[in-house]
Order: sequence, then C-alpha cells, then structure tokens
Amino acid sequence: MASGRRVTEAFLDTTVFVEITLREHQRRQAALERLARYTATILPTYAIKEFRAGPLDTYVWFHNLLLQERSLAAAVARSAAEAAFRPNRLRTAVELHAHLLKEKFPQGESPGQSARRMRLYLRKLVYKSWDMRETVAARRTARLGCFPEECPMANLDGQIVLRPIGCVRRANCSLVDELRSAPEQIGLLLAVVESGPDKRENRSRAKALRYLQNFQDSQRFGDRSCRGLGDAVFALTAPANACILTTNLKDHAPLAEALGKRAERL
Amino acid sequence: MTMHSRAQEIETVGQVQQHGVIRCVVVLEDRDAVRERLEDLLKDAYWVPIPEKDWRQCRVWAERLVRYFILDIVLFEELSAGFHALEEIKSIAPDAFCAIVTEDISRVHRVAQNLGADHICGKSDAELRDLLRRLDNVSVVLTERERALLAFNEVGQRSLAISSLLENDETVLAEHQLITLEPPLAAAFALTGLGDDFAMLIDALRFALVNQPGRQLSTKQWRLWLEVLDRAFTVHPMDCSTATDLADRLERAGWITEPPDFGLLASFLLDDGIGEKSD
Repeated sequence: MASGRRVTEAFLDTTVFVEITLREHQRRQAALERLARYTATILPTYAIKEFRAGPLDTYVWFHNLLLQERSLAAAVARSAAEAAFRPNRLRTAVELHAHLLKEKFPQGESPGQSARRMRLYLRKLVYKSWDMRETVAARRTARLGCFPEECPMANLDGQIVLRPIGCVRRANCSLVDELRSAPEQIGLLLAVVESGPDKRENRSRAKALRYLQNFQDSQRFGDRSCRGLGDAVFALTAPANACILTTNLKDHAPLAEALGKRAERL
Repeated sequence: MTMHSRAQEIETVGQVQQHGVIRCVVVLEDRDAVRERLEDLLKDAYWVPIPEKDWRQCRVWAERLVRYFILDIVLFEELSAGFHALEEIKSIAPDAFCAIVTEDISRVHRVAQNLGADHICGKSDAELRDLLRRLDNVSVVLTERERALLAFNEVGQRSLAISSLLENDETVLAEHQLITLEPPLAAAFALTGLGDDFAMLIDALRFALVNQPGRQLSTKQWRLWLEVLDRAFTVHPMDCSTATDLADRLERAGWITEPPDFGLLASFLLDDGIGEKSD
C-alpha cells in the first residue's frame, strides 16, 4: 500500500467533482492528489445531476454571456448586477472587478481577445468536466432513466447549449424506490434537518424528505423534489463502508452520522 | 454495415463536395428496414447518425449537420422527431433538399408540405429509386461558408503532406514548406462561420503565430498542430470527448493556457453554487 493511502472507499459528493473539474489548475491537481489517498472512489449519478444543474450550467451561462458582451469586465458587471442580492457573490465580483481594472493585457491583446481566451478556456472546461464524469472515479453508480445526460453542444452562434438541465420533464424519479426503501432512515434525516439552521436549503430539504416519507405509488416524485433532497441523497445512498467525501463537511456530517455513516473533508 | 461506420466515411469537405450534397432525406418510421433498402439502391450514401435519445435536440443537430455540409441521409424513427428535424433544417438551410419517406403519405402529406418538404413518397422500390434520382439532380451552390471550409480543407491537406515529411525526418521541415501553408491559412483565419470547435483551433494557431511575433513553432508543435487538423477532419462533427481531447492537446502544447484571472473568476462563478460551500 502506498504511503498515506486510506483503506477507505470514498463516495464523492458534488463539491468534490467541482473541485476536480472546474477550479483553477493548481486546485484541480491538489484535489486529484487528495483523491488518490483512497483505495476506491465512487461517483454517484446524483452528483452529476447536481453538477449539471448548478456549476456546469453557471459556466455555460457565463460562457454565453462572454460571447455576447465580448469583455470580461462587462460580463462580470452584468452578472454581478443579477447577483446583487447574494452578498458573497457580489463581494467576489467587486474583487474580480478591482483586479480587472489593474490588469495589463499582454502585448497586442485587446480586452476582446482576452475575453475570448477566457471563453475558450471555459468552453474547454465545460466539455472536459462533462467527459470526466466517466473517468474521475474508479466507478460511478448506475445511470438514471429520468436523467438523460445529454452532452453539451455548440450551436452556430458559438453558444453552448445544455439541455435538458435536469431530469426529463414529467418523468418519475428513477431513484425514488431506492431512496424510500428504508423509511426509518428518512425519519432520522428529517429530524436532523428540522433541528438544523433555518435556511432555505434546509427548508426545501425538509419538505422533500416529508414528501418522500409519505410518498404513494400513485404520486409522482419529480425533478424539483429530487433536487430538494440534495445532501440527504448522499447520506441515503452511500455504501455503509464508504465515507462521503466533500468540501462541505458542515452540511454532510450530521446527515451521514445520523445513519451511522461517515463524512470526510476532501 | 452500421450507420456509424458509414458516417465515419465523411472525412473532408472535398469528399462531400465531390458527392454534390447539400441534401437531406428525412425518413419516418420503420427506420432500419428503409435504410437497408436505401443502402442497396444507393451504395455510396453517407449516413449521418443521430443518437436516438438526441432527437429532442433537433435544432442543435440540424445546425451541426448544416454547419459541416454533410446533409445526405438523415433517418429518424419517430414521426415527431422527423418533423422537428425537417422544420429546423429548413429554417437554417432553406435550400437543403428534404424528403419524407413514409407508408402513410396521406396522413403526413399536409404537415410535411407545410414544413417545406421537397419530396414526399412511399417506400416501394420504384418510389425510392425516383427519390434517389431526385437527389442526384440536386445541385450544389458554393456558399461563402463552404468556400471558407474548402480553404480550411486545403490547410489540412497541405498540413498532412508536411506531416508525412515529418514522419520520415524531423529535421526536414524547411521554411519553404511552411510557406505553402500561408495562403490557405490566411483564408482559414478569416473564417467566421465554422463554429467554436474549429474556431478554437484556429484561434490557438492565431495566438501562436500572430500574437507572439518572433516565436517560431517548434517541429514538435507543428506535428501536434497537424495531428489536430488530421483528427478534426476525420471525426467531425466533434463529440464531447473529441473536443476535450483536442483542447487537451492544445493545452499541453501551450496554445490554450489558463488565463491569469481564472481562479478569481471560478470563485465568483461557484461561490453561490455548490462548489464553494465550505466549512
């Protein structure tokens, strides 16, 4: 066994997949090195679904915005205006803007060219990250019939098209039977979520867990409910001997521990 | 012969031009049986695979097909998918020849005509032969984009010739050989309508040659570039893996580099999403 290697199976959550695929090069490399500490790794399809609907869609959106604005500063300004109600994001936008104001473009490169270079790099990451869902872990969980995993494609204008974002409309969740196979576990998770901080994410998770708890075969468990479950899905579906690997231990640890499982920080 | 293997035969614009397409057949229903018979009748047909599950993205597929001028025979199994494709292809390339082949002409006739179908016929041998005769008579008009593609193709052909020389002796690459690439490269640089996959390649070369005056590409870099071109011509329209592979090659060669602001931008884009949730 290699030195420092953990004899543990790692069940990757969405934040880890993001760290490995969408961050700057140095962070991506560091994350991959940390992942190599584990004897085996599993990427659940649910992480891919969250990844597509969240970070990947954001990258595609910003790529397409850069295509329209043809300036990094203008694209950041426009997206910051749209994110004004999100203090963290706004703070980063101000920081990024201050950096851009100081930026000295390489000789002969206009702001438009600089924006294009950024856009092509984003484009590369969008393609590559989507491709890596098949290779980043030793194995991935089964594909879901409700989630078609269509590849990102480019249209004639150069815009990236990512459709559908989530599951097929009006499809019933392919995961629902597995999720409700242990009703007592759903109750335990619900108790943890209800006693947690009063935040939007917890409110929608509690609502989805309650719906799952009382779910009848005649009902439909759709995309919104599925996404509402969020971190609870990882706690419910991680193998008993695996640890849930995340950058967000604060949210994952109580859920995993409630079911006698472990969560670890990447 | 599978659709996929036939599709791989489409390699160069010249090849497509030689066969005189922009044209398209949309076949509805009973796809495999019709294809078999069309294959018998039209031995050198090029088949364009549309993944069954991708029919919902008809517009994107139609754009790809039109972009690369490989509209020859497109088969759809489902009625709605075929109609979607027909509508999209006609909106993008009104001159593309589109036919509907179906057993139930009376049922689809009005819809197909409204959507711009040029030919509607049944599946009998006589009708299919007639359809193929119509296809043979579809003339090709070189559009600006097609001329641009041909220029790009010329770059590819000359590049491949140089590549063969490199295979024999790495030191043989002389300036006069590179000079033969200049006119078509200038034309290729002027391209705007090829879409980002090719634009990315062109841009990479532009950055390497134009934005860094004085920098000479090494033999190794040239070889890589030629390989990229070679690959691009044999696999387009590119899928996700191929585009990734090309981008990786370009990044390894230093032609696509991580922009200096990228870390900050990634934080900006991810900190409100899943990625930046941290303890």
